[in-house]
Amino acid sequence: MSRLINSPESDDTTRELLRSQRATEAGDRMKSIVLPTLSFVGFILIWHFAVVYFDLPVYILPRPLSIFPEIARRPEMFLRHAWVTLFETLAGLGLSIATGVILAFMIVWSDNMEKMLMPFIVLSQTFPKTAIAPLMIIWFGYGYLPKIIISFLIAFFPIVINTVLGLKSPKSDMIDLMRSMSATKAQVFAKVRIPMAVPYFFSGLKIGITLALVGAVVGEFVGADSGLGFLIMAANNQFNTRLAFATLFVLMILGAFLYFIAEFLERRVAPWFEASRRTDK
Amino acid sequence: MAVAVRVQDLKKVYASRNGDPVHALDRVNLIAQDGEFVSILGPSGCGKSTLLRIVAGLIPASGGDIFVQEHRVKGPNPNVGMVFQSAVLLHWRTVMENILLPIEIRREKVDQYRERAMDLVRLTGLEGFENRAPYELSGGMQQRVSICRALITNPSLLLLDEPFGALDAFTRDQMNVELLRIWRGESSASSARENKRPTILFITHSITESVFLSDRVAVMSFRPSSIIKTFDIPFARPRDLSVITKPEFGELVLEIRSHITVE
Repeated sequence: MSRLINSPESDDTTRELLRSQRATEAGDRMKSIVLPTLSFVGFILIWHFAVVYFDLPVYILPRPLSIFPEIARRPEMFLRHAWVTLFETLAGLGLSIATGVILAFMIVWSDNMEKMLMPFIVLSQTFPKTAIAPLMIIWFGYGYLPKIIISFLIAFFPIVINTVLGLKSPKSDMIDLMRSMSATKAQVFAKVRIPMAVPYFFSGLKIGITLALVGAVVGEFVGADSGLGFLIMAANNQFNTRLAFATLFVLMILGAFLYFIAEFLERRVAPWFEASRRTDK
Repeated sequence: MAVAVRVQDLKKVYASRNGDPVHALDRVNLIAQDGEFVSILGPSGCGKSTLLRIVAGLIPASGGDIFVQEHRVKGPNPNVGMVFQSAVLLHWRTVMENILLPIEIRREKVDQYRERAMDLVRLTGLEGFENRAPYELSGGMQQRVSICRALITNPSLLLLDEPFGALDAFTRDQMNVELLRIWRGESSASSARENKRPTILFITHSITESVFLSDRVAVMSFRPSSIIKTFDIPFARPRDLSVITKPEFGELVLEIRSHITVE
């Protein structure tokens, strides 16, 4: 091999090597599509044959493929409820982002702020927030507001914590370097801390998005007249398991959709992070 | 010749975890003349970096006097450039944008410094890489970028804290030769702009490195640390790696080694 590479034909050899390398990479890409599809199809098959083999009645477990006709029968109804849940989720998430980022800045800006706020924030996470959902109904009624607040209370925590971690992620050498240039605290934030916090913020956001959806649905469980959480409760009360599964499926699509938006934004805003993480020295 | 750095009876005391005082530095005395290359040599944990950070104005001294260009050090000084063991580059900026960072911090017009930045890029052999991202560069090249960044403001004093400690031995030798070339090149290429060659304080725990680079080598003892002996390095400049093979070089390294104590 080494003789070939040093000989005049080495260009052809290199090309050949590159070609086989590209073929391997294409094969890897195919695998990353085929293998997940396989596991998904396998799951559906096991589900289907379990229902058939054990002869399960439809109110216990519907056949997986019967879920889609259920949605196709009245898509506008699912859409209407999904819209409500999406609105509550996004409102809760927006509130989480605003509050979370502001709190994170205050915590990292001043040690006293950190001492004042951090125990409070951690304490706010030690009780299950679903437990105060009924209180929210008493205080804010049956409208969107209580769902938005529950969604916010669940989702803001990972956003604060991750943004704080990110703002604190510059190593002491980096901070010393900035200080040796006589940089002000605001400049250290603008030039170093904030850019370095962006990827951390996004990993917090990705956790927060799914939690915000959980919050909205839990809020709807407790008291609502619309939304996917309400639809699941209504389906339960009628033993309409197929409708419950159809709603779950729509929720899943909604959650995945939100997650991928966050991931897309992350790649657009912080592309250096992926690259530098791979080759960091 | 004017004195660039004067450290007099410097003391630094830390509180340890159980509250007992730790004497990191005890009566450190050091003088560096204008344009001199001085290495501070000592075992790990002897407080070399602490000394450098105090001279840089990053941490306060517990006692003694420190002057840079006859001015008492009260805090970070914009006339001082620093290079750390890691290149500490900003990954989301290009090489050029990293080099110009100190200018942004000073809120000066970045465009006025582009030409000088290109001069430094050429001087350090980074030409063609100025628009690359730092993570595309090797460790040695990243460290060159951080040297350019330290030089962009024409500092009169350069503080280097084991800048090549994280590099492999071959790259390290090469970077030492390069550093001398850059340091000397800085003065000749920019003589039209009336820049003086910066004074360098160089922290290292490599005896060979310190003897190869310096005009003087100051040896630090272990805690409580002070400078126990200073050696004049007689070899003529410009130096290349062949100086290392001279018998006088080896004798000097041995002589210095006999003064180094570990714990």
